Amino acid sequence: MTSTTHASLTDRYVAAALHGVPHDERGDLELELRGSIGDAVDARVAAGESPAGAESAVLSELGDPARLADRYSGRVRQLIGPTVYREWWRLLRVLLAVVVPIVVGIDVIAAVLDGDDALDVFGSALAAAFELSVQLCFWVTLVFAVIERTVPGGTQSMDEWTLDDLPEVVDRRVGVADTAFWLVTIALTVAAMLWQRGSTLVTVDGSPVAILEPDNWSFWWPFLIATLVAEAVLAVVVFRRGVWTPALLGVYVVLELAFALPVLWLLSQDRVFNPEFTEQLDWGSVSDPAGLLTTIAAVSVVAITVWDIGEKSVSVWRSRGDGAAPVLGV
Amino acid sequence: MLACLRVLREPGYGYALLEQLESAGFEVQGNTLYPLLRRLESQGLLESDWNTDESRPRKFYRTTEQGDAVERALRADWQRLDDAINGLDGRGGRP
Repeated sequence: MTSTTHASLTDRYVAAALHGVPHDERGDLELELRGSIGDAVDARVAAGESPAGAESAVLSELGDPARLADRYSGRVRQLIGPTVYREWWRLLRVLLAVVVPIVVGIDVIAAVLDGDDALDVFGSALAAAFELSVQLCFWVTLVFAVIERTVPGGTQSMDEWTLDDLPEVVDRRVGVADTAFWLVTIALTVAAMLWQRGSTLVTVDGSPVAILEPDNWSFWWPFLIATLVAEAVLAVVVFRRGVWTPALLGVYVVLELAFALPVLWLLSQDRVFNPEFTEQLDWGSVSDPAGLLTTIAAVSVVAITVWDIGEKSVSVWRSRGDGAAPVLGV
Repeated sequence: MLACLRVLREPGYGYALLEQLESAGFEVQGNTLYPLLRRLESQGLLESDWNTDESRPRKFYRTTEQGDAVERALRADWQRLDDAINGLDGRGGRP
């Protein structure tokens, strides 16, 4: 290599390939790499190529210097590799499914007890859920990325597989997301029932007016909350089983009706909404806002109940129709 | 890798080894071979010496005893695998 421009081509290549290689190895590696390139160029020149053409051919053959540098340094070119991927994903899923609903639920209950505005409660719950999810993902991923790079013998998976790790044969048609959504819906409903007592949507002389009939706290509201709590327990049972069975569906239908029928009956008796609240309603041209509100509520309850039961029935039908899942009675 | 350990029982340097392997029918490229040599060295299967007698200093690698042992073990494995596959041909070839 007599020409400086071509020498600089090799210089540039070597510099790029050494980038990221530990300092104490560089001198040795540089000398060796230059030697190998020089040998290859000499061999090509001896075979009749021009020095410039030989050099660029040799360097092209060696390929991307960044990849060569990776091979030299044995660097990991991935955030989470196959050795820790399963553990990472497993932990992340569990944390997201367990921690987020619990913390957000506590957040909502605390806000409700403080008598916060409904919009505020909803907004802060959303924000808390989002922030917490992002934080969980970030920290879990960071820890695993560090583990992947520092734990010696990182080529072995972290936990040795044993027969005990064989999953039970459950056909997981009921996912984490479904269950979490269901539980959050229940939690929000209960929270809303508790919160409305001190809500300031409507006030009389500056003091808050409850939306739901306060007299029902002697029986019906606690009863409805109890059915919701029972439904939450059912949600967990269904999740643990992994599939909807006819028996579980039966329990679900009973609980749904135990909620919907009393509400419809109370609506028909005008005993759901607080009269003090409905008196304050002013929907402009609507002559009977309380009646309209009752109708909307009744239609909603029927629609939601029919939809819920229909959706779960389809789940049962699917898990039976498939025949692959061992569906046993409870 | 097996071939490297085998050939380097006689000391050799990067480019010469590359040519040797190529002429022996191995399709190997410099960008694979050079890092491999260093890795084998760091694992103690190869040892190296700088030879500065010639105009261009060259790093000569040589298979260590440990490398020799690994090479024999790998070859035994390879042989077993080869035998097994040939055995399949012998039996499975006929309907």
